[in-house]
Amino acid sequence: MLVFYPLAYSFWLSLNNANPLLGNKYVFVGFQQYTKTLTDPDFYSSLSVTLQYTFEALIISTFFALGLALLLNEPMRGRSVLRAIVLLPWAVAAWAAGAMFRYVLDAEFGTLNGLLNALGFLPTYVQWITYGSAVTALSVATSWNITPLGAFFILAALQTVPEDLMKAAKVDGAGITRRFRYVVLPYIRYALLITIVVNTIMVATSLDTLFLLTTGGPGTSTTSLTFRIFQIAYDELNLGGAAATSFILVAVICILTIAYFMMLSRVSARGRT
Amino acid sequence: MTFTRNLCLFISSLLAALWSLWPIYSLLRVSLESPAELGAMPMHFIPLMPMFSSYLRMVGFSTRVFGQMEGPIGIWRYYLEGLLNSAIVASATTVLALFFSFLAGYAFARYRFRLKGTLLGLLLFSRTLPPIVMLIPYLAFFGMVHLTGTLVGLTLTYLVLTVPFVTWVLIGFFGSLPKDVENAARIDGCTRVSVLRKIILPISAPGVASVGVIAWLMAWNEFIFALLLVGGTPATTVPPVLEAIFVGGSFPALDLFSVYSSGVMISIIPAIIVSCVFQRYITRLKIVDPGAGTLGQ
Repeated sequence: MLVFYPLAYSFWLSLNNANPLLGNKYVFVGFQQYTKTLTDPDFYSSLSVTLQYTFEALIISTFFALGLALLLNEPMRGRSVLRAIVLLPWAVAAWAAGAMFRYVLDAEFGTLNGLLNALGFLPTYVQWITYGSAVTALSVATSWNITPLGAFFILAALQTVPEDLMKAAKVDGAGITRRFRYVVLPYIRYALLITIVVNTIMVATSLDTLFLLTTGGPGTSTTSLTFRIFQIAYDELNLGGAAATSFILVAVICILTIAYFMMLSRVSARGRT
Repeated sequence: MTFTRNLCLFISSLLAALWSLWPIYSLLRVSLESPAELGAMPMHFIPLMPMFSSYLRMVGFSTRVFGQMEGPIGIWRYYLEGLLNSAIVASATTVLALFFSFLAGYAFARYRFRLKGTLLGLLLFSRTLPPIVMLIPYLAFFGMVHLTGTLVGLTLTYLVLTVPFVTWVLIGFFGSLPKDVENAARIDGCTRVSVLRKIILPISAPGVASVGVIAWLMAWNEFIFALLLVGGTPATTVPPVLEAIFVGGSFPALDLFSVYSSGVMISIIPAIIVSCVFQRYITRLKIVDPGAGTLGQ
């Protein structure tokens, strides 16, 4: 109830012309908000920002998650310490991650410039967050925040790989890539898919990191759909338009998720034959 | 062979630790260095003279900075109130979410009822919704019933974010508990409620507690609801206070960077504690939460 009342209410809002400043008189306008949204050039620019952001952060976070999981699965000294360290970004708030990456990427006193300079790669300081690179910077910051969750999903799956099978493959002379492809991958395929789906949803719906790191700028280069919804609701005070845009965002997420599941079912069907 | 293997593992562990800790280190560094040191080139990786005075000024003390008395910064009162409000809201959310989810999770795991499949599907679907989609109707609705700017209103919205997640985890957890004990207790004359209280509650306590910790952290870390529903009011939680510094208004004077960063550092202390304690259980807990929309945010 707690969840679906607002959802229905939101849908009702999306069909209305609602402005909180004009009191609570809603004017029913049908699907006008949707047509208005779909003909708005700002909508398409923020849609492309969301897609680029999701795609980049997804690639970075999935590879890092897989790498970290494989590393944490190796028996070694100090593993529990490393596990705590790797888990840490997950517990840190997304808005705090945005604030932290400000100090990593800052042009004057950012630690990335300082580190590269000290190692001799960078003679002068560089402006990392520019119109062209802001989305990528944002993707890295978000990936930092969401990677641990995926890493621990995959780690849990890796622990189900039977050791005998690995030994047998080794004896049969399978190299490390073949061992990964034919022994490990079938066991973690489901966890990997869950990671991808969860990460996609988290990035496409994320707003906090963006808010503290770039606040939609420079210009409108990082105005994602979520930030656009915030702007429509808060700056333009058009709750109906915001609700309509958010339903379009939900549709985009649903399409992406369904596409993954179709890809997975095709891959597993090919694996069986 | 083992030497090369160990070396590889060591180097990759080092890189993994660097990746995870670098942003936190960056923040810590800013909170401890003086403006003069921050701008130094080449960079000072370790502050020559750590300025713990930043932390003191953030929470409302006057201290000596380079021989001069400096008062607390202007927003220290809001910040401390924010910390208190954050703690209140997070704790209230956790208790209520655990109560509702405990009952709902048990019902989903043990009983058959009409529309069970549909309700489960809806529960999952709600996890894929962007939080801001839920926020818009609350903005409109809370304005009408005068709940904006109150801790009660904020707690209500946090229940919307946490209850589906906690219920989902608890369903899986209850499903893995043995049924025999419950059946035996029922035969011995326990009512359903006393089965829940005397048997289920004790054996599920560790699992419930760990989900509770995650729910607490979700509420503590939440940002956008807090910003729009209580930001700028006496009921504000920590994130809006710090957001106002970093985003809103004019760019802060350089010497305040350290103070503000110390505010962020203080607010992530719970996160650091939780991850140190949790690394042991995290793979066992099975938080397979398809669509963890706000987990850790």
